[in-house]
Amino acid sequence: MEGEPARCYDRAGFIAPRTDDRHMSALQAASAAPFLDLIDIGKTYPGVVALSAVNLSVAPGEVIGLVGENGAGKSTLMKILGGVTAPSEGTIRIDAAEHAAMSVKDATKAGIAFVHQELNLFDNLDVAANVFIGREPRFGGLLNLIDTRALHEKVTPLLRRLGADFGPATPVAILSLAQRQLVEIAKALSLDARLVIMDEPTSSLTASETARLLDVIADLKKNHVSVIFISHRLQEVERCADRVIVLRDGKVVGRLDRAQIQHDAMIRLMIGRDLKSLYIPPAAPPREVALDLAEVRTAAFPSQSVTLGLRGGEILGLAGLVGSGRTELARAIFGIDRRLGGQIKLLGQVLEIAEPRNAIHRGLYLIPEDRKQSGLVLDFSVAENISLANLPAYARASLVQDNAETRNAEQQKAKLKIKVPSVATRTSSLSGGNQQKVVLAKWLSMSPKVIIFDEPTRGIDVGAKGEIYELMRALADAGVAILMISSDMEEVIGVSDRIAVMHEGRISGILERNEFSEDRVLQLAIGKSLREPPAMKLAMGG
Amino acid sequence: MTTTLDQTIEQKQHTWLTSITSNQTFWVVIAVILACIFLSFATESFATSKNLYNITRNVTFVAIIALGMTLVIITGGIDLSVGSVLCLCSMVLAVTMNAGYSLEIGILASLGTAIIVGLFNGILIAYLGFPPFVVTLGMLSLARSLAMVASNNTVVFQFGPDHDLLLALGGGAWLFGIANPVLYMIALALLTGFVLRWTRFGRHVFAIGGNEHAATLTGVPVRPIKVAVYVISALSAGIAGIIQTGWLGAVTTNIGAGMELQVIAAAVIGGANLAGGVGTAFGALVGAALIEVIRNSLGLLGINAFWQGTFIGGAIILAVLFDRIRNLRQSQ
Repeated sequence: MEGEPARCYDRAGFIAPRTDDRHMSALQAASAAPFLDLIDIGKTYPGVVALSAVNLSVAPGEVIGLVGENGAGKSTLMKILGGVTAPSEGTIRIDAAEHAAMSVKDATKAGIAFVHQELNLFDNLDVAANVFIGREPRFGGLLNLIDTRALHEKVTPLLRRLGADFGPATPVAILSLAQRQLVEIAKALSLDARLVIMDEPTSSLTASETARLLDVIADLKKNHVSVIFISHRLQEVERCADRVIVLRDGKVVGRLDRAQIQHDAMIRLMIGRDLKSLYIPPAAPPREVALDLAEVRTAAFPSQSVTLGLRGGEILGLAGLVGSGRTELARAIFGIDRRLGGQIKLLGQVLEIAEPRNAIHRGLYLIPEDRKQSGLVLDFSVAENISLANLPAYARASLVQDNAETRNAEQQKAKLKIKVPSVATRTSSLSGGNQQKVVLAKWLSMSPKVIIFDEPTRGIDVGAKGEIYELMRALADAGVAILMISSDMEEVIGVSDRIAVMHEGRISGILERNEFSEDRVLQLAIGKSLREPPAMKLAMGG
Repeated sequence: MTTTLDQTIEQKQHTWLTSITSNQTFWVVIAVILACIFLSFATESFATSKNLYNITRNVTFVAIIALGMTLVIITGGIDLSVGSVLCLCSMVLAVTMNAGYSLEIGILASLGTAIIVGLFNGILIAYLGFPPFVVTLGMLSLARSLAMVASNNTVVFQFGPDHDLLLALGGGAWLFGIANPVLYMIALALLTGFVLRWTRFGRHVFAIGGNEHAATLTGVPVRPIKVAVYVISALSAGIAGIIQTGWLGAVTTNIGAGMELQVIAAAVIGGANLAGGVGTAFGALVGAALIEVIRNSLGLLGINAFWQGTFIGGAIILAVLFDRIRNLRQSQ
């Protein structure tokens, strides 16, 4: 492990330091006084404590790994650093000045730059225009036109410094994700950023692109630019971070020095409890195959296909890294996207699905990842959302019967313990957990045979999570086949009866419950086959 | 968790009064009433039965189309073609009857034209993914041009054997001295209100405007419903065209020019949200009424007609301002 960062430093030889007064060695830089301090930062949303008493200081040239599960508070912390959200309590100290809150402008002025997970670039403009948007060099004079030549002269050295293989006049639309990331980093450098915050920068990159990015981070470090590296990919954190801060439930639960940064230590701190405590064993052995996928191909990975059998009464976890094709597979099964090939059988019958309505009609339901965007009509009441999928059941001669609708909603509210004053309440005012229950209630009022859950508990608090797992198990025990897509390792290992792992559009392995381990799931997720013979055998057998 | 729940319950227990006063349509109704009271005292001619008869009848054409427009706006769309479609449908009716066909045939031809236009708009928007603005902007130009072609750009004022029947249909007052167009408007408003509130179709219309993606994933037949909404919008323009022809007794190729903007203004003043998901039939009527009262009062008060646009524009912005203030207050 020690050798990796050293290699990174060597590669950065051609880089010139930014300014002479900062001409120190990387090691000195790391020990320099912090220029940014977050002191006792807390953030409370109505009913949710997102952050409490978080302390974080950043010194020049330091690479800080920030890890934590989904919902641990990482993004809230980053929003505060970027000036997007004001903290409820605490102080932000930049150099000597103290702020109770920052605006986006303050943050930019302080030299804080973001490389977002969803890159914020203008696809219709070229690279140079993106880097200097709003700050273009001008000719001056009456018309004050943009000086394109000067613009390119400024951008070219930045791109060269980052080792980019494209020029300033390249349209952003034709760049790959990794190349776009470099454009974002160039933008940060052009702003004289002192701190670059990277949110899951490698989640969609290939191995060689990732290595290239880690080199860039080492270059930044050498030039006394600090980096906060947020990632679920702990190996990369291990490789590039000087220290690691672990967040859980809005609190800092661990600070690891360079020497202490180890995969297992991070996992233990992130999760903080036994992985298997979530598991509710099934009441009966699984039944026959309910959903049979034969060589299903999606547009995301046209050259790969998925063959998978999902049995009635089981919860099959579908694990994999972001971008491994899981959501695309679900979308193709449910008829949102057209599939390129293969056959889908539901209870032995071939399914012809052109749009979601066809799937719904046959008892195949999808509970989407993004409740607010895809799951609910937020302006509708709880009752109206629940009945929307199956209005004929509540309608006579095409007229919606409010009584029938309310009665069913009340039943579901009691059954799923939806905490809401009345079923006439608008769903926009509900908490994430209760919103998810409303989405569930929608489908449970019908007759489910297969339910695909895409990230069923993302952004949901721990108590409601447990209730949703219980509901999933109750459904499975009633014979429903459940496919659970999840990026939450605790959830995948804790809830599933079997785990199928996807890597770059194919199933890289299937694990039975007795072989579950985080390590095995991760190995399969990054495309390695398992070394242990028994696991290997079963993976092939699935 | 319990405290959050209690807070939520508390927040939800709006009194009857606060829920009414936070409603944009309510304030527009108040504005209309106040304007009427003021005008009754300020002028002698406002509260005469003749003037009120005029106002109510003038409201109807914009209001009827605003009902259809409200459906389109609730789904998050827009229909710029209604003024031209009104013209085209009127012209088809006029030309058909002028050629010696009966009133029934004329109406069928006219409404058939509206349905074809609506299907064209709707299919392009729902199935081919055209932006509603573009399709209906094209139709705005297209429909009026077709009306000119159909009539050779002449004024039609002879409606064949059923001439008198048509004029009675639009210009008469068959019930309690209320102008016929007003009766049609009330009937159509009740129908629209009923459909929006009680039917599956109405529920689906709101669902599409509230969250089209979620509606698709929930199995709502999004595309057929979008087509239906544009057909209804074109039909409402066609119906208004037929009634207006009967009332005016003549059709020219420039009737309904610029009307789409009045119609959209009426819907928006009445509380329809151009972002989709919100709107009522009652609001469409009230919005149309406010515009007409403003227009009428300026004339009666002897204010130069050039000021009309300023007042109507002000009313649009003021009505939506109430809504924005409420939203801002909620988000804080």
